[in-house]
Amino acid sequence: MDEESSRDTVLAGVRRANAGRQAEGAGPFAWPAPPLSVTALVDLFVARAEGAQASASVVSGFAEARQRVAGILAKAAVSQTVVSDDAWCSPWDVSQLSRENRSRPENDSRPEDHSRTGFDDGPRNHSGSDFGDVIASAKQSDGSVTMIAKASGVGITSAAYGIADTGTIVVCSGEAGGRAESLLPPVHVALLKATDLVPGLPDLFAALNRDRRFGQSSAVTFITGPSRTADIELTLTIGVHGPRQLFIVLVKDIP
Amino acid sequence: MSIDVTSRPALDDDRLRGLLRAVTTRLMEKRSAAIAGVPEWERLRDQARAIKREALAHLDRLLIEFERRVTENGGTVHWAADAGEACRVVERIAAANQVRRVVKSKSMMSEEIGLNTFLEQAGLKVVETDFGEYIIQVAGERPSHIIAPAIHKSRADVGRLFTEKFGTPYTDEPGQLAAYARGVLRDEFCNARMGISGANFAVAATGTIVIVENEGNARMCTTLPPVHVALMGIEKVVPAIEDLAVFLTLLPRNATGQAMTSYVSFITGPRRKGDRSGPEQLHVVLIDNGRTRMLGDPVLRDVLACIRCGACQNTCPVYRSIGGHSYGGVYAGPIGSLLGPGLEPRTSPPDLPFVSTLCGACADVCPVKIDIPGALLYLRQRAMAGRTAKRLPHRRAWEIGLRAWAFAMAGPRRYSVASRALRLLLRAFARDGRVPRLPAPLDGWTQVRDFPMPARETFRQVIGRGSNGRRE
Repeated sequence: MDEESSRDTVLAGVRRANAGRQAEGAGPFAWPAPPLSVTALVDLFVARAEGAQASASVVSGFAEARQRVAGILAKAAVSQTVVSDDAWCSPWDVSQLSRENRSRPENDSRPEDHSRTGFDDGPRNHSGSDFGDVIASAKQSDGSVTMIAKASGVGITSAAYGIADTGTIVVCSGEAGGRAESLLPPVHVALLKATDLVPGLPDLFAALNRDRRFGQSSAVTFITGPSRTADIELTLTIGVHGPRQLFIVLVKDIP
Repeated sequence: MSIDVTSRPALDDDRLRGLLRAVTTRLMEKRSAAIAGVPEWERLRDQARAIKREALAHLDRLLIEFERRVTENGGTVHWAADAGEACRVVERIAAANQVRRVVKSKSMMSEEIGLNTFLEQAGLKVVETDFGEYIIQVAGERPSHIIAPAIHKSRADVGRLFTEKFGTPYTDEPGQLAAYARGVLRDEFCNARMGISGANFAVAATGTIVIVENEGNARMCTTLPPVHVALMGIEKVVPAIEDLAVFLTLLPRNATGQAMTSYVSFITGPRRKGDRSGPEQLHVVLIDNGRTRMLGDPVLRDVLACIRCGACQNTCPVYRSIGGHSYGGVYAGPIGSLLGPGLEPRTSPPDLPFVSTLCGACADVCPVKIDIPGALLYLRQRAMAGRTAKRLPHRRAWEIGLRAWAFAMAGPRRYSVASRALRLLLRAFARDGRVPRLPAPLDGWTQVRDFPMPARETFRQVIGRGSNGRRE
């Protein structure tokens, strides 16, 4: 049978089955009032993200965010890092990372008071202060990004939104981060502005609609903690297929 | 085959029952903890049910709108009236793109239509990439739970399986076994020309399909191969993206006790111009396979609201005792006893609706408030009245028993005499206060457990003595 007639068959079946039935309307849902202050959202987001085994740190301003990323890269000590377009470009400008790090002395002071994470920068065991290659997806030809991401130890993307209630980051393909960079490397570093936090799912879908994300992005992905499975006796195993570690750098005090 | 027969191996397997009990208990505990943090939980269940009912009532309109949006976003929609058509659609897409290797993420729909067998017979290599499904595929078995397909396998089972099939050194450490699968499947993801996924939800207004997962394998399957094929039942479509705030609050908490799964992918069309990753083609296959028939049934149409969370399996005393394979179909547990007769009335075991204590635990946990016990009763009535009735095991005994019961319950004296007679009868077969074996046609009950002796005094005798109660 050809597909056109299958379409007709199925739709006719649906109409026959529904004939004479009144449709009840669902109506809007009254969600409980969410917390509104940015500070409250930041605290909630960090607590929930870490509850989902992500590492979330709160920093002040873009320069500090880059420092934080440098700390994560130094600790990860991988030979290659891939950066999605949006994180590479301003205002994040991760492209400066290698340069900043090279010019920085070992054991410089970092703003530890802002660090909210269980991730310990620890003593630098990484000889030298190079991160290996930091590669921008934007500068690659179509099709090669997947292979680069597969060969990279760290993937850096921005996140378009964060959901405080669940500690979730939302990565949108296209403009705000690629699909492969947040998926293939074993470590994912996500950059998120505190002003892009929303309290919960209803607020997030309102924002996604407002920003017309589903028209623009072929993939909008919610990411909550690292990849996991519990398929054997419900024993939690972190890092099957997707990243083993998720670092979220949450930036406050953006002018 | 009847459940009497198919459940025998599980009932004789203490190890399996212990495993099922441990895992399902843990899942239910996690669920309880997760929903405790959502004060609007009950209202959300009502809302989810209302959204699904509304969507089902307007299903033709929503499907057409969904089709239009998918197409506008550069995807292709295919329609399939039954399993065979659905399989052929996928095969045609594969052939048109010279696909030899396929990676698959978890999809109950693909189980329903028997896709793997079909594609393998067509000469394709199909690899399951969800860890649990991978274990099941390597073992050559079928999933026994909606969200935990390998729930019936212990760590030692999986360890032995991997050693036997891959020649790897034995380990029963889940992390090491998962790491081995990760390594094998990484290459499959990158070499496959086609990725097949299911869909948890589809949104008519945006043409988006939504996939809920924890491992990242569904993201791989829908990102890396140049062709992505998504299989979905026609009942999966909801009107608007906002509706997912309700379903995504319910589904992860009810299924695994997580506030949110690691990944939820909202896929709207293939990769856009300028994107550097993502598939070049997106094909969505809308599959009926018995759903319009269920939609036309006044009771079973509600079952189409199911979002496949698996909670009714975890809480069901019968599922927990006999496991998923005993049900003999694609879907097990309480929901399987409805979906089986609904979707596959000809091949579904005739006694499936009878495999329930009607305790109602399933209805209590159902996130879309399907009246599962009510629907099971409805199917029982249909089974006793219908042409399949003669295929029911012990049907004659049932009829005699029920008639006798109806007679005895019709008056207080009859009831009193009958209960005393029953007690005398049971005493004749008792050993040490229990009845290890009843005569035919009641012997089915004692095949797998003892029947307890009734109390020395009946309830009416205790009440009648008046020591502790009032007599009016």
